Amino acid sequence: MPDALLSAAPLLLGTDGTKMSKSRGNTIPLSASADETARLIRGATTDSERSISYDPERRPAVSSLVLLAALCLGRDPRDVADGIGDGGAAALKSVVTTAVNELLAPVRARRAEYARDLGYVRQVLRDGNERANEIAAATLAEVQAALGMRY
Amino acid sequence: MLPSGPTEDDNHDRDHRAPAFGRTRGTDRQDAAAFRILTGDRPTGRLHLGHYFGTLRNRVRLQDLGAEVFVLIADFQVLTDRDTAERLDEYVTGMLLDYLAIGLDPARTMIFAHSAVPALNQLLLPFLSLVSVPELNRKPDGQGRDRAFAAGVVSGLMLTYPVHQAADILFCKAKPGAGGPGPAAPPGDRPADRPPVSTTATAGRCSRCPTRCYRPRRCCSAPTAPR
Repeated sequence: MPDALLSAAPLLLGTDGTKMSKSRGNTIPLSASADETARLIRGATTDSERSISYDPERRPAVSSLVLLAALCLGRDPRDVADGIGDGGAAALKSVVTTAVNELLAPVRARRAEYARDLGYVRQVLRDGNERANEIAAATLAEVQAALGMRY
Repeated sequence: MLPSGPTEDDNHDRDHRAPAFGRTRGTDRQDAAAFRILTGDRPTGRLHLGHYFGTLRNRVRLQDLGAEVFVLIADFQVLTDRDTAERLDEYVTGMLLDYLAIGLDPARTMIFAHSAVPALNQLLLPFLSLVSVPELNRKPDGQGRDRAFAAGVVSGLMLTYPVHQAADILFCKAKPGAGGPGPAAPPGDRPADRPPVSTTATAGRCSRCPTRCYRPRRCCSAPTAPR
């Protein structure tokens, strides 16, 4: 078996504390506005413990929020949790909201700019389709030749 | 004028510092250029932060390291677990915007839709001939397949999903990776002792179609999306 090029992806939970999944409606979409993002994070599941810690086994919902902030900030989740300490869920959510919105601000700006030129966006896909067809046709020709399908 | 990718902005720098980004093996620039990676998403909704940290930012990173990244918009595969593909146009446009906004550069990364490449479906046929029914019935790997198998409501499209993935990966001669058959389960979601169907289907035991047609480039695990 080949080696994996990348390590396992970090598993983020959704805002309800279960797996983040489109079908569960618990996601934070990249295309969400800053306000919508803040609202989604405000409504995220936490627990009643005042002190924030990074303990995915015992406190999956809180830990996933800590992890999300850590990923956005490029920091260790334990350090992020220590920094919040006894600030509780409100402080945690505030940190997460700021981190996510800062990470996504430039993405949103670029997205908005591309959205003003949907002709270009569609052309990107058409160009990709064209190239994919060229590659697929070449592979198909090889396969047909190998199978003796030359008529 | 449209903006260029975020190659040099803070966001990208953050990626390199992020602790959970993971240790990598053999991913310096020289190595990365030897890879062709097939990855993708089903257009079933809006891409979210789980996708971003699970796969999307890695695609940008690999692209920027010089790997050839192919991103498949797996529109036909939307039908594996639902009767109709709804709001496709909206979702596909949204995905394209997200891809561009996070820094995938169409000059270097090819973004394409399954439905636009009919030869993919022809390439499926010899692959189907290589895979036995028991193999297809094996405990499946994500995409809701496990649920569907448990409920006894497996469509033919869902049953053959791994074979479609083999065709998707190998039409462009990417390599079926240890981490999953292309746009499938992330590394770690699959028992390590069981190769994906895309690997067995191309393991060089085919008497009908010489697998040299599909000789992959260097091996690598596609960065994959949570479903």
